[in-house]
Amino acid sequence: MQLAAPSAGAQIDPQAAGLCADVLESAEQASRGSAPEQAFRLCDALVTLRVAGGDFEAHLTRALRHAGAPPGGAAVPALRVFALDGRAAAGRLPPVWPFSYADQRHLERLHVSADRRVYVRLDEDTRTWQVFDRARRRAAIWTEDASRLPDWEQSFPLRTLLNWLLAPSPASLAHAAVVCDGERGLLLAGPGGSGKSTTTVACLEIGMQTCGDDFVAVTGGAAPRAHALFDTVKLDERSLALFPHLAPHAVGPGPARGSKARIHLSELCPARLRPSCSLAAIVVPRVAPGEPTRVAPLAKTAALRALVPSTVFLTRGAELETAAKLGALVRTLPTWDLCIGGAPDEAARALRALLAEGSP
Amino acid sequence: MFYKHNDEHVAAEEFDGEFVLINFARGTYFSLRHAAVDVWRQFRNGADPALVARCIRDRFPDAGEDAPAELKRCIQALIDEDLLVEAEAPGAPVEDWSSQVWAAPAVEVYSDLKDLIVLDPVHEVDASTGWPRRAAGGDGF
Repeated sequence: MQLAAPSAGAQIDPQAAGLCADVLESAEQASRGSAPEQAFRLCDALVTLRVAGGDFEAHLTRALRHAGAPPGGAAVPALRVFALDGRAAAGRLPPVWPFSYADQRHLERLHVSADRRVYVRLDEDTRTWQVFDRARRRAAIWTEDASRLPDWEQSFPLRTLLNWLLAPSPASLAHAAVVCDGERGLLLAGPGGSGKSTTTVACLEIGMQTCGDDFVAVTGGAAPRAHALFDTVKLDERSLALFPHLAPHAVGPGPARGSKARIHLSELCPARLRPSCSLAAIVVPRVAPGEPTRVAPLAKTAALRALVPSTVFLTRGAELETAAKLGALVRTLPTWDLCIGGAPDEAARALRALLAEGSP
Repeated sequence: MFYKHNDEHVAAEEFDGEFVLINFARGTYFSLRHAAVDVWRQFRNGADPALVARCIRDRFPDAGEDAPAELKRCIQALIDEDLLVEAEAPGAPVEDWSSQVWAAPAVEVYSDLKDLIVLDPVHEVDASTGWPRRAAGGDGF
C-alpha cells in the first residue's frame, strides 16, 4: 500500500486557512497570559502545551505527566499546542462550522487540506475545535466549556493532535495495550471487552511493566518499538473487582456512573510505566470462560482485523498512513491468540513465558 | 461501466491468500477469500465487471454452474460497499492470480465498529482550491 503523499502544488482555501489561523491565534493569545508552557516528550517528539483555564489544564496534562520534559530548552518543539477553555476567555466562543455537512446526524466534523498541512476538527457535541498546522508546528484546542468534556477523554489527551503529528512519520498511534518484561514487550490488540486492560493490570501484578493500556505509539521497520503516550489504565466494574486494592486509586466517575475507572500509573507505580520497549509479537486476547488459558498461533489477517480498523476509526484524518504502518507491523511481527479461560494471572504468566521463550 | 479500487477511502492488505479491506468512510471492514481475492485484484487498474467475471470463469472452466451468479454477487457486493468506484476507462489487465483451484468467492462484512464513526468527513474538494466548498447560506463566524 502506498502512503498518501502530500500534494506539493495544492492550494489552500483562504477561508479554511483563515479559520485555522483564527482559532490558533485566539487560543495562543488567550493562553499566553495564563499558566506557563509545559513540555512533554512523546514518541521522541517534543510537544509543548500552554493552557488557558485551570480545570482544562488538569484535564489535558494529568495523563501526560510521566512524559514531562524541562521547558524552555534549546530543542525546537515538534508541536506547540495552545488550549483554551471558553470560560477563561471572557466568554469568547469558538466559531461555528462554516462548511457543508455530509451527514447532519454525525457529531464531529473533519477537514484535512489536500496537502495534509492543515487539519480542522469540530466536536459539535462539546463545541470543541482542534486545529493543526504542520508547517507552523502549531495546534490549538478551543472548547466552549471544559467542564462539559467527557471524563474519559482525560485518558488520552492530545490524541487527535498526536495522530496528525505522527501521520507523515514512521510512527503511528495504535489502539492497543503493551505489556513488557524489561526491554521486550507484546502489543495486545482487540476491541473493548477483549481483556486488554485486565491482562495489562495482571501483568503489572506479577512484576511486568506496560507502555499503556489503550493507546500507544508504535514504530515499525526491522526493530519495531512501542512508546508510551498516556499513563492511564481503564478498568470496568468487573475488572476493578478483580483488583480491589486498586479501587482507592481510581479517579473519574467510575463504574458506578457507567464509566470505566481511570488509574494513573505514574502516580501509583511510576516504575511500571516504561517510556518504550521493543516489540516481540502481537497478541490478540479473548475471554473464553471454561477454556484453558493458552497462547496459540493466530492468522495475520485476524491480528490485522483486531488492530487496524479500531485504530483508524478512532483516530481520523490519517487513515491510509496509519493502516499502512500498522499493516507493515503485522507483517513483521509474529501474531498470537491469547485465550483467557481462567484467572487473569494465568494470562499474565502465559505472556511472560511467551516473551521469555518466543513461542508457547 | 468500469470500476476500480476506491483508493481514497479503502485500505487493503493481503496476507496468506486473504485480503482485509477497511472502508474508512463507512466504518466497515471486510475479509475477502477464495475467488473474491482474484476478483479484487482484477479491478486494481480499472476493469469492466462483466469482463472480470468472464475472465475468471474462463480460468476455471470446471467451476460449476453456480459460478457466474457467485461472481456477479461478489462484484456487486464490492460495488455496493463502495470498495469499488467508477473508473473512466479500463486499465492494463492484472496477470497475477491467487487461486489455483476454484473456490466460490467469500466476502465477509464486519460492521461491529460502525458506531465509532461519528465523524463527518466531507470530501467535496474543489479542484482549484483543494478544500471543501463552503456551505451555501452558511453563516460562517
